[in-house]
Amino acid sequence: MSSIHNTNTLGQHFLRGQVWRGDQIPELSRATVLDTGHPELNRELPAQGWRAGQVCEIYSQSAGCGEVSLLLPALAKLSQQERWIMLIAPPAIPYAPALSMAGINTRHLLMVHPANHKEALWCIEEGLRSGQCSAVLGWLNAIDNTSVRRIQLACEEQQNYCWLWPGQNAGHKASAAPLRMNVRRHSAREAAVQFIKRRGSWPSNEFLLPLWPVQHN
Amino acid sequence: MASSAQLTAVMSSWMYLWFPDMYLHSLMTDSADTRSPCVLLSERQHVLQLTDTARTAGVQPGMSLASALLLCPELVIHTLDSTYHQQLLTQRALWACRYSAQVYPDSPQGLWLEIGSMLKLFGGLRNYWRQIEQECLRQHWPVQIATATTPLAARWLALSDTGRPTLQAKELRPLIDALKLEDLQLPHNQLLNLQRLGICTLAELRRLPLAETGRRISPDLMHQMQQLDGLRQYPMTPFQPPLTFSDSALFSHDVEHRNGLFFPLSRLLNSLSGFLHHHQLSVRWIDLSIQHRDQPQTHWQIHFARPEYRYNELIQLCRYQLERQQLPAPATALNLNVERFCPRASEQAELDNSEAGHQKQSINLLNRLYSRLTERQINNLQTTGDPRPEYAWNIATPTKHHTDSAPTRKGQWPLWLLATPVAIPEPDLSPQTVVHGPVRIDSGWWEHVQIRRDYYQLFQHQQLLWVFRDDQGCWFLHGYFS
Repeated sequence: MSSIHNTNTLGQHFLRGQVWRGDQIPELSRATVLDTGHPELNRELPAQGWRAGQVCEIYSQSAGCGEVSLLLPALAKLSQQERWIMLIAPPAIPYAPALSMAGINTRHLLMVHPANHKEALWCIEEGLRSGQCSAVLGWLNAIDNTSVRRIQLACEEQQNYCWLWPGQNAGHKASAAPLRMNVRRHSAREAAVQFIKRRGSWPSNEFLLPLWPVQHN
Repeated sequence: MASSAQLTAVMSSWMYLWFPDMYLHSLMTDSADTRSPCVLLSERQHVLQLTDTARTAGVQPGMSLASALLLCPELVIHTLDSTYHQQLLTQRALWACRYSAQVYPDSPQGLWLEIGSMLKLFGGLRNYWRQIEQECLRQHWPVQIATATTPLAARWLALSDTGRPTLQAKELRPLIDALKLEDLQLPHNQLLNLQRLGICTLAELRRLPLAETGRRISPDLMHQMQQLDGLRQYPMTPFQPPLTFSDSALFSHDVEHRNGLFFPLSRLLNSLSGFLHHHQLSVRWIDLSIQHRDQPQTHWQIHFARPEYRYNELIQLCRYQLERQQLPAPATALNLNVERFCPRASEQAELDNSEAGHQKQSINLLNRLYSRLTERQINNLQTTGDPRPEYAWNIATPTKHHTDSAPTRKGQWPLWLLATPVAIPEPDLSPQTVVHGPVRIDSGWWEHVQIRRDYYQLFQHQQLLWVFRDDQGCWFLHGYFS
């Protein structure tokens, strides 16, 4: 008796759109997907790669964890397009030889150093909305959910890629970003990655990601 | 025979735009102003132009100020400044340059546009007419439009506001015949003479033999009748746009907030855009000067990353930049000046480059970024091929074409480089920590910034670091393998 009652309420929740089923996401099928360049990462991502129009938040305890390197293969592909890759408020100088070595066309990198947090958010949105950027990468000190939602909307509208590195301790708060991941360095050549949120799937367990395929020697 | 040859030579297509009460309307910065009764006085203190609200109060053109004030005590009074009046007409003529290559101003408040060569471009007379009408409406310019095959016919039809979008002789003829002489702004004594003869419409005047009109009424009127039919050339001076652009808007009420400036500014930019269109030019920056009552002028310069000429872009970019400004005091007038222009041809040449598409597209984004940030905040990376980490990269301005980056030196480089190396205590150099190294970089002897360093990759505290020891044995952190 009670089980029938339970299924009824679950059915109602489905009807109201309060519960979504992971295997029934129509948007997955028609979205553009970008190969991450890491088989381990592809396997864990619901779309088997970076999906266009989804903001991804990356958290790490400090610099030097591989939190940016894991994007290099994807950025190398995007930089072949005649569009900008915008870097907003990078925490240090992006070292051009390293980027070139990874196969990135540095001519298409546009670095922006906003004066404050508000200006940074404006730049991110402007870059995404312009349709003239293939990807927007932003380093922020803190981020609130409203801003993330706005950024996500802009990203979805233009179907481009956006990766954000919000402050270190915001990881436990809720966020509108469809993808959120923790990155920590496990060894010299490996990062340990864990998705704390993946739209279309459950949060993942921590898995190891080899991080030194970029040298072209 | 001679007259018929002349006839075909003079016949063409004309549009006349009559801006009733142009001066007064230009003083209204927003629709709220039109509600208060307002008059424009001539130098001799007579009412020249007035708003509808003043008219309903009983004020009439030609009235003295005293009687107008008796009828309507709350009247707002402006006095005519004839240079500003002239400037206003120039502003409209500049705007009209977007619609016709030949514009002829008719002082004080009319314009002729030669439209014969334009109709095909705009998709026919009706479309052309509608576009002009809508544009005037958007600018809040009251306008009376007429088209005809001779300049004078167009003018008269516009004055009496009976113009129709047609150039067909058989449709124009009844319209012209129905014109009332009192609407045509004829000299007062001429009109009086005609009225005494019982002649009120143009059809009646036409019935008189032309030579008789000239002899009995006035030779001028005879000439005008000939001009009306295209038998005689109508004297007009073509509009020559100046090559510096300067325009201003006066406010009837002080504008206290910068948002109040957008509306008048959009008008100024509109005529600027017409000007640029006519000359095939673009602008890199514009100067705004804002006048205050008791303070020196405020000057704002608005820069664009790339030459621009489109109205929509201009207004957007100005909006971004004005949002960052504060008015130091209420504004009484706004001037827009542009003295330097760039030809659009050079832009074309740049587009021929291989990166054409990218460049063209990016202009827009860069322009927007520059409107809010300074040039130093936006840059582009380049590799130089120098072995010294500090010199291995270069910052370039993204708007310029730059040559291909130098080939990169092979090696394992960190992704983040610290602008200045940070001194650290001597690290533990056990095999567990040292991932790679030492790699010696010894270079720069040809300049005075020689370096001799041993670089290590260290795995420490869950971070992969790029550190070096200099030739004095001191240790520094220089980058992160992020």
